[in-house]
Amino acid sequence: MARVLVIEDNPANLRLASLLLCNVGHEVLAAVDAESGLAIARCERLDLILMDIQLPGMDGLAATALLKQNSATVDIPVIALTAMARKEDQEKSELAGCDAYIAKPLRYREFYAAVDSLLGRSVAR
Amino acid sequence: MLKTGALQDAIFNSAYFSSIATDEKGVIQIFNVGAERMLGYAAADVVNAITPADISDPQELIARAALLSVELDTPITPGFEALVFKASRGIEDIYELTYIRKDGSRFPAIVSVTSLRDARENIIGYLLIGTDNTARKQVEAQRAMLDQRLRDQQFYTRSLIESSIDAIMTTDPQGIISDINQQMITLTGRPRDELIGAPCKNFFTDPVRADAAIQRVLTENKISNYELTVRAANGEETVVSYNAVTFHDRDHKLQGVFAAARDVTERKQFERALQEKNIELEHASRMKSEFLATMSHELRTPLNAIIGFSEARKDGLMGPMSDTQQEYIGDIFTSGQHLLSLINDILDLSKVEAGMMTLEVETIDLGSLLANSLSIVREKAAARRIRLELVSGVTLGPTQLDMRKTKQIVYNLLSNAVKFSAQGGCVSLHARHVPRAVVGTMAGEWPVHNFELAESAYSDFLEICVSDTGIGISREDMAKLFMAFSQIDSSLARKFEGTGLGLAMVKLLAELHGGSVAVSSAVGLGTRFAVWLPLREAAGVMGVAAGAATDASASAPAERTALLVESDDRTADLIRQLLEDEGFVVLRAASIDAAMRLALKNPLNLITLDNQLPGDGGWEFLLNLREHSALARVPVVMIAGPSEGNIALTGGAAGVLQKPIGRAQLKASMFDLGLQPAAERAQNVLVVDDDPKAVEVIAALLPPPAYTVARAYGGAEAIDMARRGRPDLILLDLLMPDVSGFDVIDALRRDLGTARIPILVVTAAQVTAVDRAALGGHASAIHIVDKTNFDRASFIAEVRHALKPL
Repeated sequence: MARVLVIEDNPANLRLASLLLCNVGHEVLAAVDAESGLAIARCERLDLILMDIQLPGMDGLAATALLKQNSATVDIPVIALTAMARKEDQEKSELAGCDAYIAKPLRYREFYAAVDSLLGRSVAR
Repeated sequence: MLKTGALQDAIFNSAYFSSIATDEKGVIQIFNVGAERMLGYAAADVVNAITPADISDPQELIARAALLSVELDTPITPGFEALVFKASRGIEDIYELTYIRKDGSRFPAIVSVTSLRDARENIIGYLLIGTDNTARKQVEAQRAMLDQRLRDQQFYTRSLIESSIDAIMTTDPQGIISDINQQMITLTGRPRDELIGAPCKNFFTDPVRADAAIQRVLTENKISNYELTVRAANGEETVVSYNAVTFHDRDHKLQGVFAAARDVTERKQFERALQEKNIELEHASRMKSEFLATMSHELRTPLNAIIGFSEARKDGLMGPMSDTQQEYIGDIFTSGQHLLSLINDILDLSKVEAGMMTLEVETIDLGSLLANSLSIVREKAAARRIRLELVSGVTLGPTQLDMRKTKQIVYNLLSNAVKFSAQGGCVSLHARHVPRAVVGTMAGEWPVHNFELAESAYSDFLEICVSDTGIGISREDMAKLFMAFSQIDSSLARKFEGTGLGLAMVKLLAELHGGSVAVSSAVGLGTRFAVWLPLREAAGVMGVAAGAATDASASAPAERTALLVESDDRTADLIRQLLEDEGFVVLRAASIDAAMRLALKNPLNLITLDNQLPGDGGWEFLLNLREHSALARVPVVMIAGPSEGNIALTGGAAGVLQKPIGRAQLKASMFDLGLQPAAERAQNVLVVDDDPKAVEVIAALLPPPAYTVARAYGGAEAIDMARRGRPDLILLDLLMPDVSGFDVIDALRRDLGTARIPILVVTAAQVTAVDRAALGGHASAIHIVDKTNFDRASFIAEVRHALKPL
């Protein structure tokens, strides 16, 4: 179906996101930090990126902003995934250019809804 | 000669002078009438018998002799010689002495002594003329006494000044120091003579400010608690509080300034310490909040995997499991959820405590909020056969509250009540409006624990009461109830899983609203919690009303208002429910007066009137209505007893409903009055899609006159149009850029004015079960039409279905 890059430093959470995506037939690529995630985004064809915000080194907000500044990656929708559950965290992620926001702990219904919605939109375009 | 002699005689015989003449030895030769009177001797007693020294104070004579001996440098004997020695040398002599009367009493006299000489200048005697000096002496004594008194007074005043703990000084109008006290010397470390005569500003660290203080005293006549810093000779600085007044002489002429400077160094130090402590505490509090926010994040990260995996596994996303596995994975999921709610509560509490939580007041439909809250605990209650009741005695209607926080309050109370109720118990939720005076009070015999209501201008409050028939709380424990982490009995805590934060949160949230909480309980019988939230004026209500008056048709379609006049709460609730189901916005009045007020203020489509209101009020009201032109056309449905139908109709009622009132009966009546639900009128439909072609395809399916179609090509536009136009139905695309269909639904459901508009989702995307779940969470009024699988007949059926009342 779609190619999804998951950038997540916590191995269990990476496995969970991968499992949920693979379960509905998506292909999953994974990165454990923003830098390697950006490298993958530049050279792979991607339909969606799941971006953890708290990452070692560059954080997810900065990485998203870079993705959105690059014409090659600007169209890849980004879902921010963060355990910072405050309203201002959501606003920050919007400012950085994230297309959707999911607060951890993620619930698969919400997760699928966001993924489907963004994939549907990017397919329609 | 004769004349002169007579004059001399007169003087000599004057009663006011004592004239005593002696021979050269001092023996008295003449003793006149004055002398006789003053001294009490007869002339015969003394003439040729004694000298004037014998009737003088001997001590004085001794003293006078000694004095003269020194003065004239020759030994003079204390006796008559001492009296006349100077006169014997030709020196005129006038002095004071004390004469002793015959009766031994004494009096002061001034004596003038002259020597009497013969032609050859030989002394032949002495003349002593004396006057009684008593009166003058008395005056002098008096003056001396007054002087002493004055000195005493001055001493007293001085002591006062000196004993003052304040450094005191007086200055002239130019600020030159004229007097100081000891404390001033100590404070400045300078001697008195250095201070007096110097400009007082010299002794402060900031002479300009010191000068300004004096200027202010001179213009305002006084100055209080003016802070200055004194610099002492050794450089030491002292912060003083400077108080000064001007002083004037008896002619009100300005004399100068009287100033007192109090050492406030200690107080200053105390204040500074306090300030530092405050900063420290604020810092600590901020650190705590930051720590909690970080902790919350750190805890959510592992919970993500726990809840995420367990939920997916539980719901079969990873294949089938045995029942036992299913049960265990369910336990993991529930525990994860519990842990999450703990974390959220802690974070919320710390936010409120740190003052970081703000109130977001909006207009909310309280009735549905309460009903929603009940439905959340319904499952738990049902599992333990606990009955749930909602009793709202009055028109609650749109209320200005923070929705999320109010929900949290109600939910916390309800879930507590359900948790602590025994099997088969009953939990009821009451809501009503109360005046300020009622806040904090609870009816009944049970002991009450309440809190002081914060000062505010709010006069009316919403009271939300949750009662249970549970285990109850002892009087002592009620006090601990609202403190964080205080599930009263730790054994209870084990039995009734909970965070112990719920009630603390309820209290903090109520207080954040400007309200309060209370509890009343009896052990073994049950507990009642009450929360009072202030009823705020809706912001901008006036503007909306004005807008409605000029452009009533704009908001007309979806909104029909019924006034329900009913004194009995139960009946009112029943009729309200029925009317709301018919699509009315219901205003309720419990009395005729209230009804008239509401009727005059609100545009009405229907009035229902109970004729069994106290007194003959119902009939009177009906007649009154007919006299107001604005109200005369509003149909009135009488709620009457079985035998009163005909009377009501003649009284001007448009219809009559007989108790007990049922749904079918009401529907029929509405039909008769042409007040059937919106579905049977021409329908306003708002079609929302970012693709204009799609909009036109749908619009073509909704032809006039049955439908009028409004078009929106984006989510934001749709929200705006829905709010202004209040369409009867919205046909909504989900996948739009920027503001999606999900966002539109969310926004409309949050707004009381649009929350009831049915929405039909029309989407090209595969609508997943998950999408359906997400939409279903919002409201039951949302139906989904699949664009890919589209035929006209089924679409129209869907539209018709959606337009039917709920």
